[in-house]
Amino acid sequence: MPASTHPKRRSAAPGARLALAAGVVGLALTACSSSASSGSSTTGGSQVLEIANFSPFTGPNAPYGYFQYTGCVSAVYAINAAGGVLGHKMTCTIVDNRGEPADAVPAANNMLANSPNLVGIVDGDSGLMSSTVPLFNQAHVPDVSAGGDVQFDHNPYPYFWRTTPGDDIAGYTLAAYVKFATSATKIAAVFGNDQAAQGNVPGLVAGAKNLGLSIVTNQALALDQTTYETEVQKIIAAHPQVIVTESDPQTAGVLLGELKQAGWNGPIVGTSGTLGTDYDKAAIAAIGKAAYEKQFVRIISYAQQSGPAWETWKTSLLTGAKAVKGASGDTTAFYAELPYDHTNMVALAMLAAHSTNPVTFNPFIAKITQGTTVVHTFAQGKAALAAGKTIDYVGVTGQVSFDKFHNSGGLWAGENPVTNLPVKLISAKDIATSEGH
Amino acid sequence: MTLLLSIGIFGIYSAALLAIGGVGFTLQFGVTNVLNLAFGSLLTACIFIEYGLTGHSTNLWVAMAVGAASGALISLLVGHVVVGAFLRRGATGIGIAMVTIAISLIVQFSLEAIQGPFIFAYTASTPSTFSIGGVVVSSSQLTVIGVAVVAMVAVHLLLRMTKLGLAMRATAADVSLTRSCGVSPARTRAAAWLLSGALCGVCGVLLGIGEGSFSSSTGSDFFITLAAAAVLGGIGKPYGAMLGALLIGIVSQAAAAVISPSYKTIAAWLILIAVLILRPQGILAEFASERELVA
Repeated sequence: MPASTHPKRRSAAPGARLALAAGVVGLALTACSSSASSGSSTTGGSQVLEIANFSPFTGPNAPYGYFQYTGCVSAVYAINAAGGVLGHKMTCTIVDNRGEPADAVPAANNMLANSPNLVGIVDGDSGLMSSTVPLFNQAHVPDVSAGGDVQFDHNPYPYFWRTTPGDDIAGYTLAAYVKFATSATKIAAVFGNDQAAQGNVPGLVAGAKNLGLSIVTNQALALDQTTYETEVQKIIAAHPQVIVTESDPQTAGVLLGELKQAGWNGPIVGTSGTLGTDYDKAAIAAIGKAAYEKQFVRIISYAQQSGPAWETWKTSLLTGAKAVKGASGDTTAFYAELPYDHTNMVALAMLAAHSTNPVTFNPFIAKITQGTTVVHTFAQGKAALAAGKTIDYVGVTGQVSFDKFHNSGGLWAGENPVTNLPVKLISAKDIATSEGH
Repeated sequence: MTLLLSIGIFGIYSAALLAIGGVGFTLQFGVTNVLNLAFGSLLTACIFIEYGLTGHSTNLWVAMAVGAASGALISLLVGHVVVGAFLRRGATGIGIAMVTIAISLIVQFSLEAIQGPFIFAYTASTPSTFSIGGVVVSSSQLTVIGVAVVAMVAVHLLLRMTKLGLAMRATAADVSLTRSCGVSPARTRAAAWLLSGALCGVCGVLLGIGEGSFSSSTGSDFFITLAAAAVLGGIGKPYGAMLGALLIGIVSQAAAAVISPSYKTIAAWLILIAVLILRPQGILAEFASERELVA
């Protein structure tokens, strides 16, 4: 047998063929990957377009990830039911950033490298934006965000969009609520010492000064301690009339319990960072449901809980997202409604641009909120665009008006944490007064 | 004056939780020379077990009984079955420490995978409160302090007055000599794991109920400070852990009161560094030559 007498030749020939085959396959895969990452052709295709939910899905902030995913899944359900985008179905994927920059950057890079049909990202973690948004921008993937990092108030990244205000505006809104919705003039600021919570403090301090309120004590809490009695003593000793706060749920549980123990039964105003069932559980465990409902008000970006946009959202959520854990309780969850609207905006932008290429449709994310025909759902928007109209998408979370930095402010309200119903709307005028305008 | 009293009382309350867990952690290391970095995750596991078995009960006595039993069992399983297997195969100290880190992560993320990344909360109760010099303390907090005192006294009596305690101290000092005196290191090791686990379980349930809520990372977050207390007092020295816990508890409360709450954790760690610079072996420990791992 010739092959057996020439072992080197026998082993070299199959190896070379194998290498050649591998090279061809590799080139082919690279070609496919490149074309996919620049977006599918406008003539349609079978690729499923991907919206990445870039959020913590493990760790203490995981509930926010699931809020976001619920919103995306609900939107995609309705989008696919209405025929998809340019012949493509859409899907939502989970990218777990664990809520830490050290984990988020590798997760972002991995997502960008391995998601050839990625057309948009929805995210909302203030603490990660400065490290991840530049990556998304460099990859030319639109990121429609709910994060409040104040650095993005003057956002320089064309692929970054935000429909909630920065954490500093949230701080002014807290001061405005205290001024215009309560009779209090003395505020105790009690915030966790993490970046997201502390982002509220400068706006609160400045807003209080502009409105003639006084911050009688400002406590930056070390998170997850076994007791805050010393801090509580300092708070009580300062004689505030209202406590304004944000912290993670476990910190809040200990703090609120010890405030109650010290005899505090005055009002407590929480930021949007206190939104979530975990915070509610911890607070109720600490002070009881009745006290929580009576004393606590949460200041959040306001979304109307009725109307055609909300009805469609609710149907999509209860039908399309029913497999997502906890989804059925999210019909009034602002941080689930936001990514629902964000996903719809990306889909409508693709339709308006007649392209699934992010480089092409990115500018249309603003244009679909500036047209003449008001639409409240993806299906309405699709129909209007098909009829040659320009659209103004007003979703569950209300009117979107992007400024030159791709930021849109929205409405605010003080919300009952148990019923999730607004108790007091905060007008833009009140917020502007708080800002000193 | 009220603030000073608050620092004292709640410094002691913080120290109580640290002491219960710290003594368990350091006692087990002292006897077995195994650095059990899974201690925090085991603490969390005990909270979950108590929460599930007692129907979210906040009865401290029931909770402690369940916590102690589950902690002892889990600890024995980890120490005897898992760690023991590696020791019998000749694993070194660093290797064993890595094994315990692996156990810690497996336990923590298994809890998260099974139970979800959510907070679990106890039903709010209204314990009776007492005013001590203007500082309001709840009966639960006083109970925790009392339990810590009783546990420390019990550990002291065990170590000083019982044959088991003598065996533990002898094994901690010189395992070879102890073996040659007819004391079974395996039984002594098992007893140390059991006791350590029981204290871990008690600490866990008191922490969970005291905070009112917990998650899969509660124990791991708490473990860092607990380990600091043990190292501060001299690793392997139960009395050192008690002293270390008291120092960290008081200093962190004082820092929060005098400087700012942000400095609570910083102050505790600065004290640790300062003490170790002056006494690298910890407050109560003495330098010792490299010790044998007890298999």
